[in-house]
Amino acid sequence: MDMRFLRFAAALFLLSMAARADVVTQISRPVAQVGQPVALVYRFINTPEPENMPEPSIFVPGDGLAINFQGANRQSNFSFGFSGGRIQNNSESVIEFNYSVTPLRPGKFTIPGFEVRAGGQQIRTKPAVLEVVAPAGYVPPATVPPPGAARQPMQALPVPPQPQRGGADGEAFFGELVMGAKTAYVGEVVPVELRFYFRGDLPLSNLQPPTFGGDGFTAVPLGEPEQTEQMVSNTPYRVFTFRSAITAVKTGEITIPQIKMPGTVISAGAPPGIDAFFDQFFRNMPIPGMGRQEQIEVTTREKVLQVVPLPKDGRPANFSGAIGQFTLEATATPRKASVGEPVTLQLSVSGRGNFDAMASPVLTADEGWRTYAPKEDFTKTDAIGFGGSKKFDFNLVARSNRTATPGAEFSYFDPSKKGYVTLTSAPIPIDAAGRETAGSDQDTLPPVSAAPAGPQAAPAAPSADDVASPAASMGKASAFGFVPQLRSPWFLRINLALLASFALALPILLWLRRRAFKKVQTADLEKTLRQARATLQQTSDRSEFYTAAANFLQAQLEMSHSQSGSVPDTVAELQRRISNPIERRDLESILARRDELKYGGGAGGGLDPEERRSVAALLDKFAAHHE
Amino acid sequence: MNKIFLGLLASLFASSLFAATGDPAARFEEANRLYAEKDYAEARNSYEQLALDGATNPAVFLNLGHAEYRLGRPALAAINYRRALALDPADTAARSSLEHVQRELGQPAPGMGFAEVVGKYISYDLLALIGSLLFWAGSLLVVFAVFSARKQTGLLALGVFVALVGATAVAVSWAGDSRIALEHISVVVEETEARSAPADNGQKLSDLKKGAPVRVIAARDDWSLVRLPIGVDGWIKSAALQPVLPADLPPSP
Repeated sequence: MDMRFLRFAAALFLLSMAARADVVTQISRPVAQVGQPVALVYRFINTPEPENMPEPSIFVPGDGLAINFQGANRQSNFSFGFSGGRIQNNSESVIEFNYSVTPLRPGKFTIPGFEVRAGGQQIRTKPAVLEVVAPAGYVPPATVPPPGAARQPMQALPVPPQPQRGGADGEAFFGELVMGAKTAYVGEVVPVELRFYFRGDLPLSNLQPPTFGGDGFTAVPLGEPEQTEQMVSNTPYRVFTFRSAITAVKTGEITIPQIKMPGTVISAGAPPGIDAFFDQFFRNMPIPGMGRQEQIEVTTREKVLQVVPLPKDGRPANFSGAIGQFTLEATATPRKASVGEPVTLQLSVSGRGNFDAMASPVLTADEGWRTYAPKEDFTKTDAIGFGGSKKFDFNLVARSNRTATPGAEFSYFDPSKKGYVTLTSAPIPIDAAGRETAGSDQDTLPPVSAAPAGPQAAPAAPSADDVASPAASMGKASAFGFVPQLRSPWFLRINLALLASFALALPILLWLRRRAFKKVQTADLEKTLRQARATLQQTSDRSEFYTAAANFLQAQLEMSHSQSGSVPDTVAELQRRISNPIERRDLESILARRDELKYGGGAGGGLDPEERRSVAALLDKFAAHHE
Repeated sequence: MNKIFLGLLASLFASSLFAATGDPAARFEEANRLYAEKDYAEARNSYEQLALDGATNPAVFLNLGHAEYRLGRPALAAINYRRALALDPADTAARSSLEHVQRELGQPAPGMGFAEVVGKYISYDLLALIGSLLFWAGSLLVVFAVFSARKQTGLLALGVFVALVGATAVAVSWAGDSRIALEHISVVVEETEARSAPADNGQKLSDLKKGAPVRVIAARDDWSLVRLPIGVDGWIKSAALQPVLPADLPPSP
């Protein structure tokens, strides 16, 4: 029975071995930040035990990853089943090799595959790809280490593969202070990270942000922490990372004190105020958010920073305290300026360092220019203001015609080179017109940029050092001197003369207007007469004939007034002006005939030629007498 | 030959002498030379003489202000910078120098108001001239439209508009021209006290520091009634005042 069972098991094992042998490469996340460890697992499935797995580390070209062997696990799973009347076995043998991968710098890395021997055969692992990004406030390491230097100034925060303390025995929580350097210069900005580790299964509540500070240094206030997960000695931890930077203000040994992060842990059990009798109940049936609250305080260890003074040798005269690594760029707008128009020279200092203490670059070759205190604007490229760009806008006004802006110099101390560096910016060609000036040295404004300028320097404020330069030429005289044109006698005389002219011209204008008006009215009446006369000669309709005759009569009477509409009552006017009763009666009969034909509905029809002649003669006679 | 040469030299000397005493530009250069040699008193006299002779160049008053400043008379310097600005509101050198001197005197510097901004772009004299021309041109159009035999509504509207624009330009010129504003302004050139009456035993109203500008309302004997910065009127000794725009430029005390 036993022999049969063993043969059966061996057959199953051989079947499983032959079934599907494989090696799988797994990386816990494809993208990680610098210093954020990720897990790398080589899983050998249904293969014999690999004999030469790399321990303790895997070599990766480029030196950007630190890979450390964490241990191996072995598992064997057997399962049986019947399907279609046949035995189905699902046995699996898995051997896992765990590594922790800690990125040391940003980039895209490929962990190459490698060959291992397993059971007399060569098995090749598959490569794994990890993309590493820089976190906020990341400082890349100096590329050229100073000879004999105890450290690399301005280097990246040292990223330990594992925390320097805790975690080995599954400690519930611990903190650590990671400092970018152990030695710094006075005024140098040293990036630091405060990392607080909490074991993954710890029920955290009400974490308070730590307070960071101490004697002998200033610190950038802590912002929001970055929250990540990290395996420490095979134990998962939640990591809260606060980024800051310290600046030593005195030489000697400076102690960075313990930094404390208080919080509360809720453990299973009866909440406060509930009888201990129920403790076991709550332990067995934990309710989220309810339990025993325990105050905790996570602390970092003290650290010591050695602070040395800046060297005096080689210190440039215009060095004003900038420490770091910087570049200088200059632009000028506009490129063409008229007299008095300011030109803005923008000097941009970019890089990493103590921007807070940075004074403006110094202008050079600024003869012929009036310079004003620059306006400053800082744009940080990380959370702590360690990297960024500071712009200095100098307003310049040309005193005399200039073809180029002033140049600029900016001196700083480079800790990586342990020496001073002076950056220069050449004058920028422009075309600026200016007033000619006397070149008295005494009256030349000193370059404002030579004086330390605070971050709140007033824009375009005139220099407080001296009055402007004296004018070298008399220039153009003011046309009216101190008497404004409004008060000049000739201006007043001309305006008074114009006013008087208008006043005097008023009667003449009125007369002219009346005359012109009469002319227009007369022309209208003449037109009416012409039209009436034409109708009298041409029409054969009696009604039209008498209407035209009445119009003629009306217009002829109005001609004497030279205004149309001036005779409202034609009959009364005829009585007033025609003394001959027969003529008056005949003329009135024309009007009466017109009204009769128009309103009375009397006989119209054709016009008798004799009637036309007699009426026309009567009107001609009237016109002849009243022209 | 020698006689001809001597005669030529003599005529050259005479012409140069004439140039030095007659030509304002040459006299200005001479004053600048004195200034550069730090003979500020002589330079100041030369600049002032140019001004008294009727020079209306802002540069003369700018340099006169500088000379007064170098001689330790910032209040007089401020007056001359104001004069330079009255002649050319766009003179940045005079403005920055005035601001510097006013700061030194503990007095507020005149700011860049609307009038100064307008004055940077157009002369108030030119604005007055253009405004006047527009006003009369508009008025002429109005007259033509009103006295026309036929109705001229469009022409009337155009005339009214042009006349209004012209009148506005003249009004802006009147309101903005600092020469008009400065007509009654004097500057305190020596610290003094303002009193309620034109007498030494009058009640003291306030102290006036050097460089303070005041508006002169009236004058009686040796006293001037001025509008004080505190808003009330008081009497101060006329000798302590220097008008910004006098009829002529008197010698400084």
